[in-house]
Amino acid sequence: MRYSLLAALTLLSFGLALTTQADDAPVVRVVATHQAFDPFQPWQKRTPGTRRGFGVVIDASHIVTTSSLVQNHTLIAIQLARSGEFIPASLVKTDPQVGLALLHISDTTQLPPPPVFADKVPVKCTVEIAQIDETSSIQRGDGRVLKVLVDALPGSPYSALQGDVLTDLNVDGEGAVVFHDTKLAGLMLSYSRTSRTGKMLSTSIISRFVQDALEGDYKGFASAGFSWKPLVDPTKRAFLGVGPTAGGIQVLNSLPGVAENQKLQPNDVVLTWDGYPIDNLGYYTDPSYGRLLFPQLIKGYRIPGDASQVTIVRDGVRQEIQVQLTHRDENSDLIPENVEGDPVPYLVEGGLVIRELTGRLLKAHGGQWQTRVDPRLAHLYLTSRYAPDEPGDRIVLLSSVLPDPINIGYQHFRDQIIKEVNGQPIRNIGDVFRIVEEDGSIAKLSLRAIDVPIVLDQASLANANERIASQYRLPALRSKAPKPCSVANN
Amino acid sequence: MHEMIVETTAKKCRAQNVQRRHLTWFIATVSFALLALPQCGSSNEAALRHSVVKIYATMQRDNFSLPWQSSRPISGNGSGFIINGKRILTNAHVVSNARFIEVKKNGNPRRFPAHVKFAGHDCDLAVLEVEDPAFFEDTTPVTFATTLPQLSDTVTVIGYPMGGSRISLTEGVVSRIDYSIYTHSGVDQHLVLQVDAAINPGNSGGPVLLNGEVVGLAFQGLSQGDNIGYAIPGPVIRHFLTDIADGSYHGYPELGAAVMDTRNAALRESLNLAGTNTGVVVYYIDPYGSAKGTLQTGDVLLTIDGYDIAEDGTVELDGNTVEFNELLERKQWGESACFRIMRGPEIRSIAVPLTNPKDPYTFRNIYDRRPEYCIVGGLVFSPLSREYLRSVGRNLNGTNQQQLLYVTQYAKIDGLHEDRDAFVVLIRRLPHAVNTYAEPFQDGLLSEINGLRIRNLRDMQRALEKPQDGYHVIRFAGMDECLVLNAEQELAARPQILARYGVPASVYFGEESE
Repeated sequence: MRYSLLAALTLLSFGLALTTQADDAPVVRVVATHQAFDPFQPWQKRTPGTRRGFGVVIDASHIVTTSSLVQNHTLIAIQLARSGEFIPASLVKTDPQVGLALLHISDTTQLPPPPVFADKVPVKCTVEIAQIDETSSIQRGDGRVLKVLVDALPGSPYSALQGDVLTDLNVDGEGAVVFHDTKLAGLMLSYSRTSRTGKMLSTSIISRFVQDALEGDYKGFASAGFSWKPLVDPTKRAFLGVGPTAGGIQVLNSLPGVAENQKLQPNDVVLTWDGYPIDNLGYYTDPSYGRLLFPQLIKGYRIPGDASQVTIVRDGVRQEIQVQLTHRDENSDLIPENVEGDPVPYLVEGGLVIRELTGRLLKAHGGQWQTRVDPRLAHLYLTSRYAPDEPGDRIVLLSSVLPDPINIGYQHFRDQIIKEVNGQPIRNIGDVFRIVEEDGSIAKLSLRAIDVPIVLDQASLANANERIASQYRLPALRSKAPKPCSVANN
Repeated sequence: MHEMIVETTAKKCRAQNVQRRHLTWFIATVSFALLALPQCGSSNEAALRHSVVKIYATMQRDNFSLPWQSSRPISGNGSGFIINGKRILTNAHVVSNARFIEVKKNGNPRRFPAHVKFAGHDCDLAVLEVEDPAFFEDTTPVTFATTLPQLSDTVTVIGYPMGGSRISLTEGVVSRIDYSIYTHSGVDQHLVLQVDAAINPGNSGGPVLLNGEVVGLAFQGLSQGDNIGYAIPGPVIRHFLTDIADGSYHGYPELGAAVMDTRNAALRESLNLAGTNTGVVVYYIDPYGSAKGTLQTGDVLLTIDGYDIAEDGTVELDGNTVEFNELLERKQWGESACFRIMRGPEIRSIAVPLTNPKDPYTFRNIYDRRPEYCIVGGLVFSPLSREYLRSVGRNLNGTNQQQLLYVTQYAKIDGLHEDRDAFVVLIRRLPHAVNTYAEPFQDGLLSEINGLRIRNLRDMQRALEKPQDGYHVIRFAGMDECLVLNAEQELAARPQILARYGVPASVYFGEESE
């Protein structure tokens, strides 16, 4: 385990590490105006809004805050304590897998001195939580870290090491800064005024993120690329060749983005990871925090490119293998989540709106989206979203039709999966762009389970496109979207 | 808000209905106004009142969650009328799942036992027989009108709706003649008469009269509408009566070809239809439809039985523009529809013999048929049905449950039917130590047991004969995880589970298995 890394991270105290005295807390207010893309009409944005939260100064020009605070930002500014001035900031890196964002200010304003990073989450200890109140004063409150656990980040499919914090301070936004013995102990991700508890992201994650982001070549956090389940059922344990007391979890499937020869295989039973025994619920005993889910051994202590030593039972035979860790992002998935709400590539040709399916598009239908969207698309997402037949495969949709004389007879089509364009198979939206660039336009489009192609009149297509762009106020008929579904945006 | 169509049988428990999109049922709330008995209409109408009978039915639905059990018997009543041949015509939903039926004439206190002779669940019609010939004394069979009523014609609805015990007459006008869903089957659409006469629970099966002749049979209403009722019109009734004339009911045949209109000029040109305004193109052939083996995808249907099919799929029929499917509606099982088609460069004539092969993937409502099941280790498996999906209710957000929704709509379109005869679902766990860890598999679609593909319930028994190294390995569609049962323990647990939960038998494969 990379204790050396943890030790190194504490050296991220750039400049003079000071105790957090009354007016010198390294806390800033972060104000971000944002405008999300419309999931249904990818060429336009939704109503803009403003989010306010906090961040922590980590050196003379950088601040760390939460990724959700600056998601889809149009403008970011920070405010120092005792100042109403808005200081422009830019986004250096955001990583939704750990819920963090790194900001940079080029202004010459003197930021408060950065804190020393605590080397671990202070479990069952008193902490201090600091934020900036409505008078622009630093406001502090006591809190207590009740427990440390690997849990899902708020509103995210990703998990990370967090602390449950009980505090008497009414935490007024994401990113409130948690100190322990004047050292940075974490950032608040969420807070419930009802239960007076919140989630705090651990410094180990923050310091790893900062170090990686500042180096410039962001590698992200490690993944072993498999899905798993607890293995409690004694019958199944016996069937898989492990005894009732041996511990271990069951590998369900390997995920795309991991080298084939280094994959764990379905029905492998993982007994130890890097020497730590894993119980049948997936927990190990962490030297610092006690029982934690074993993915902490990968995401928390390893980096992409490392190899983990793993004891498994495969086909009833106990064996040691090395599992190469990678950084896995959703671009490998058949249906990316698009957690960050990045702009998605699209084409509008003859009023036919063509785009890729994302989790965000499905979930934009609301809380009962599973029954509101086309059942085939919901089923694909729920059962196969991680599993393209071939790397790079996506679900390309004819998502809707903008009615126009050129598409009379086709206007009822919605959320149909596209098989072919101009007679060529389609694996992702890139294929559609390529074919359109090669052929000049879409002449024929085939849909799954509809054995009659949609045909567009080529003679009138250019005029129709112009008319449709004008009537439906499309800023562009085609957009490749610079970074579709990217984990990071610089 | 969705419009909700309710059957109009008066039931003491509740009236149920389908909200189509989510296949959920709801308790219909209908305001029941007391209906004053109008003054006598024509003398013919007065005579007809003696032909309108009240039907008392005791029904017992099968329990699709505990398939060896039935629900509590409930009593309901509907209406019917006497037709030639000493028979009573009513709605199928009035007498479906009936354990005991009685009929009573207007003004006669005596109830006569009756039984269902024919039931057409696809058109919600049934014919009853009464064994005691005394019932038909002093009765006159109704006369059917030979044509559809006109819009705004004033019609009279006769029956025994809630709000009183005597016969009731209400008047209204025909406000629409259209195709609509028949909620009894939940999937079939046929012609309906929409009338603004009050059609309330209990009216079901009663005649709708115009000038003393029957032009329809009251059958369902719109719960959120104001006096919007529906009647089954003469053509549908005639279709049913003609069908049963040979002593058995075959049902409406299904063409089983989905077509796309050819209004798009570019599409027409690509199909070599430029310069004409006829033809629709087949884009899907139902593997359980009549067209399978005769029509092909890509065929352009130019005419049906000599009628030109316009580019929007309509034909000119009796001076009206109607969907070409209306011609198919008039066909009986075994008849043919003659199409002139264009297939590639060729124009050819094709006769499609019309049938309705047993299709397990249409998911109609099921009546008068016990659900089949097979219990393994306390896990109850049963073929997926509309009834079971309804029992899952609104809880369709889970992966397993959503998958059920998917297969009910896409089973045939996505070819999921090809390696199975039915979708076998784990519908319930009867808790026992042998199945403690089976909870995550609830509502899973069974795909494989012990390496053998499961096409139907009977396959389960065969697969269970070959455990893998002493274990039953059960796999479900769309799940990476498998369920493992110890074969020896499973065998030992069977009698314990059956006894503990009062299950009469571990399997029921339909009537032939009894």
